[in-house]
Amino acid sequence: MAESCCLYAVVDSTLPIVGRQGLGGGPLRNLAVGEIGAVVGALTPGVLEPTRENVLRYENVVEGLLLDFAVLPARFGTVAADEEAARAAVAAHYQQFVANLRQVKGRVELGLKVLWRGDPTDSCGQGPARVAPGRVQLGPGAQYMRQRMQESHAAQAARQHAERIVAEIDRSLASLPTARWTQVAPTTRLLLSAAYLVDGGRVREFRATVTAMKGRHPALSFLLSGPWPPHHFCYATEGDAHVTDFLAGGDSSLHPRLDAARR
Amino acid sequence: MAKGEGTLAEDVTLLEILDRVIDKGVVIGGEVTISVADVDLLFLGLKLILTSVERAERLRLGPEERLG
Repeated sequence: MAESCCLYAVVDSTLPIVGRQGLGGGPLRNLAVGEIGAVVGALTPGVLEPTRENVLRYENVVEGLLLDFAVLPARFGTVAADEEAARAAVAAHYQQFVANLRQVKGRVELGLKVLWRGDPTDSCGQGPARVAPGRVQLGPGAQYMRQRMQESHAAQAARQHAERIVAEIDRSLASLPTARWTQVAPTTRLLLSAAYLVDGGRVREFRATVTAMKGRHPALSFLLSGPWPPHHFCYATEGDAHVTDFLAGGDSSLHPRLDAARR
Repeated sequence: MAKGEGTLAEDVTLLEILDRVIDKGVVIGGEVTISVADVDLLFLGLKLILTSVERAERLRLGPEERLG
């Protein structure tokens, strides 16, 4: 009877995987699909519970593969009905995977989060505008509207300030990544959430550049993480999947919404 | 492999991992399913993407809640 299996990653090799285990402790198998491989493991009860331990172990499995192969990590919880279904799933998008593996080979992902240390509206030097009290006493409704207007102006100023800083960060890092994924000001305190695809040999240079930026922006906190497998730079067939900007003339057909997202 | 910097490194590391493992990575709609907690999502048309642990937890509810 065919058994369901977890798909962990697509890799740039058909070599067998030796000595590495999946979430349930069973061996990983590399299913050859042309010149690439689909790495699968047995699906055992409980391994896909979205717990802290399982998620950490999943990441460890993928990072282990990264030591030997170019890797496209599958999303946590990707399951195929059996090994043949996993092979067919990868085969159906073979050319995209081959191209995507070529883009990530020899490269790693670095994560960067930039946060305001204090109130963003204070940091940009344009806190809520203080309107001089008029001679006419404002009613509660007018006071409320004036307060909302002041807050709106402050938020707009903070947003513009954030965009200027992000533009500077982009300029500083421009020559280092081959692709990037960014969100500007996804929350009030988070100025930038970004992932960069960087050549393995340039990670140190990337770190040094971020360290230099820290010195120039004492009001900001820079959180650099990685190296990671290239989670943000993987092929996805879903329309609402993440969007990646391949800087080096990459193939935007890998990411259906890339063109639409470009301004 | 060390991740993150500073005193909050451990929390940051976990959040960074969750952001990547749950919300990013290869997605192949139609051929394989994304499944958590042994919930078979085939009947949802194999088009479901997990975007957060919250959503993953929601999938663990009964079929009525899931489809509603």
